[in-house]
Amino acid sequence: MQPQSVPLCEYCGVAYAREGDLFCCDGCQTLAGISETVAPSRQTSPQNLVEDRRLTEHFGRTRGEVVSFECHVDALACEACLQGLARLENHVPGLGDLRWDRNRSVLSFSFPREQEQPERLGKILEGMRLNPRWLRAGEQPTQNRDSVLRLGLTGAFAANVMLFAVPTYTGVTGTLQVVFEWLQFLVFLPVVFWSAIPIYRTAWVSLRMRHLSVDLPLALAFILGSIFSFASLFQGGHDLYFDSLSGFLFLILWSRSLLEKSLSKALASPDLGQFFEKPLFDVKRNGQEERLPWDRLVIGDELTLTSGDRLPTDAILLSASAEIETAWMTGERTPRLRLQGALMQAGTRLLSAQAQMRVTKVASESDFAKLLKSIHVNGDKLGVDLEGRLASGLVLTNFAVIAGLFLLAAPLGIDELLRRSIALLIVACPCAVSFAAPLARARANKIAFKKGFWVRDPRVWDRLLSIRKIAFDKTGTLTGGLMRLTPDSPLIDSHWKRVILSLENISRHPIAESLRRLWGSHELFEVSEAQEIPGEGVDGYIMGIHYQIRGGTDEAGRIRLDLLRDGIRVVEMHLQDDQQVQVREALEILKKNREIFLLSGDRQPRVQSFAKAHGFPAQNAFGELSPARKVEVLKEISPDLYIGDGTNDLPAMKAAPVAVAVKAAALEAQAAADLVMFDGDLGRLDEIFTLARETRALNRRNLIFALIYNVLAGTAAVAGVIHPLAAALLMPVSSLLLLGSTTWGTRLLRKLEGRS
Amino acid sequence: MSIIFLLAPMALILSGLFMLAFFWATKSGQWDDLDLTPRKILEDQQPEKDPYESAN
Repeated sequence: MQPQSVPLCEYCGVAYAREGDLFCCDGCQTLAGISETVAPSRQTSPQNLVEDRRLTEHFGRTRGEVVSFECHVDALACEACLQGLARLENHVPGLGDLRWDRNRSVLSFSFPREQEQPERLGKILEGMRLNPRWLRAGEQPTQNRDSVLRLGLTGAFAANVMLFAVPTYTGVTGTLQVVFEWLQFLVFLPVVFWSAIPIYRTAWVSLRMRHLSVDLPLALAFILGSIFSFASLFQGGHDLYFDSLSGFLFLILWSRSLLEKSLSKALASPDLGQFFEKPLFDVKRNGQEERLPWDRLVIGDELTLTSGDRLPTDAILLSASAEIETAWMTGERTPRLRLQGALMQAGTRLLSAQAQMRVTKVASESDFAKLLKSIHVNGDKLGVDLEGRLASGLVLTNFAVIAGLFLLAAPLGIDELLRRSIALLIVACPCAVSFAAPLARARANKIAFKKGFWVRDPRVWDRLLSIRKIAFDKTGTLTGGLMRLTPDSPLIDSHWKRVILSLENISRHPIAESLRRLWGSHELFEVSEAQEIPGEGVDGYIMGIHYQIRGGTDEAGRIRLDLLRDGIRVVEMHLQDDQQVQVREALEILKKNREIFLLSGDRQPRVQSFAKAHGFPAQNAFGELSPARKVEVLKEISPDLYIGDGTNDLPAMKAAPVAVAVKAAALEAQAAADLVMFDGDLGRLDEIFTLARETRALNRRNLIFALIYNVLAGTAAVAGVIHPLAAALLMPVSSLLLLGSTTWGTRLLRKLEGRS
Repeated sequence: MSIIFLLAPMALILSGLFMLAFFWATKSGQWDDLDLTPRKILEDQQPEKDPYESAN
């Protein structure tokens, strides 16, 4: 489609570089520059400092030790710019919490107090030609108002032009006809010189980037049609297209605003509020009962949750015990028991009938909120894809057909040829093609997100279609759930159970969790100076006696726990991983039509016995692998998908075509993964495969429809059957049909949600 | 038929007035937030204290 000699952009590698340049746009050029040159030890001049102070004073929002900023920016020239922006945190010291609100076109970020460098970031944004406008606290960007104004006024102009066109269609002649034609012209002027500016702008950018965007034929049709009509009017002719062009522009703007709304809805950041289905919570504040929304809860509020509610803040449990599920934070779907005084994190779902808690952190400060924010930043990765190339191809085809028409059908006369060309450019514009697929994918991402998957790279949908071999990391991914006491473990007196449970009450370790599940609710002792020592155990004083719980492994490789009273062992117990039923069931589903492999750093005999118990073929289970050896084995078996959870899986995840991080894996593992699975239930992975297939089916249906429509309508336009006015009506109708098809198609997909 | 010469400018003036009203409404932010505005009347008149400020 594009000439092969034109080089790709050095930075994004997606768009074509400008002539005589290495980059496709100023954004890429600036980002490439800072990736190479910026070092954290940037020299700060007094001018920079003064400007930083001025910006901070006027536009900074100080919250504790952090100063946050917002600025409204122009549309990003390419998606790589967006991804580049996300990486700015590595280049500007102190810059953090970078967020991009696509809907409002607002970039927000923060700096630690006294280290603000908004001026530096502003300079980078200016370099990217994003024209940053700093926003004061609470100030709204004006872009939305502009587009609403443009849409509304264009609608009014179009309606008036059509109104004045009616008499000419119904047979008015002579002076009156001329009067009505000049009235149309008068009202059409703001349409051509103001309403259509966004179309001209994107067409110009696409020309500059040597990329055939869908706005190029639109702008061309619009300009050609206008010139043709003006010429006709000034020469006293009656071939005017003011009504078609203004109506067409209004419908284009309208269908685009609908599409953008759907897209931004699908891409909307997972807002905290959407997780707290309950609109008002029962709260006791200063002895008074109140009903408050999640974002009004403050530290010290006593909250009453009922079964199924999600805790909106971090809190401490006041009830004697509560059964909860913390899949969003820990990946564990298994119900967990918490005893009085336990700390509960926001996002926790209550399974017991009712529980009382005291708020310890407001919702926006919780880890849950931070997790969602990080998803928001990275969730906006979008790639250039098949439909983009297809749309460019269709545009090129249209131009080729018009060229052919002028060459082969010259006897028809320039007026007729122009009329047919305009009709073709309008009716066969592949707008729908370029919108429908990203919309379908954005919706698939959203469904996946609701099911506990965060799609980090949207291109993963295509790769998920051909998964035949899956490799699993064992520890943490397939195991690491509940433990149970081994049959040869000594019996434990109920007094010691109480002591152990009291000490373990501060711990969220799987062992502590397993013991609570095993022994159920006991009246707890008051523990003083309780502390958890990571990797060792728990310490504390009960009635003045010093107790310690220490963990280790026994000769058989199982977990061994000792309770020490004043340093003397009083209880010894052995635990082993519970063979999770759900893992076995999940593997049963996943290995249908697929080959599964087990990779582990664990000892070979244990890996083999685990493999046997879970249906892995013996030759597909590899034990005693170092991270580097894992990569070598991966190369040998070349799986399509690798599932891991920890930093030790990083090399393997980077080497695999599709990497999935499970159970709220280490942050580094999340960064390396294409898909992050918050939910520990591996069986849901099969639903993601189904989602990928359904999304492809939907895309295929849309593309076939769009192609058939373009061929039929295009042929009709070339044959002179379609008048430009009819073309102006047909084109947005086809866009809306595709939008409907996508919405309807993904509604079927949403049925998947109910299948958990 | 000459009534047209009165009606046409009237139509233009009238639609121009409506467009002005629309222009004013947009510029003064009437369409900024169609979802949350109806809920605003349910909120207290007193501005909420920023939880961050109370925490610091």
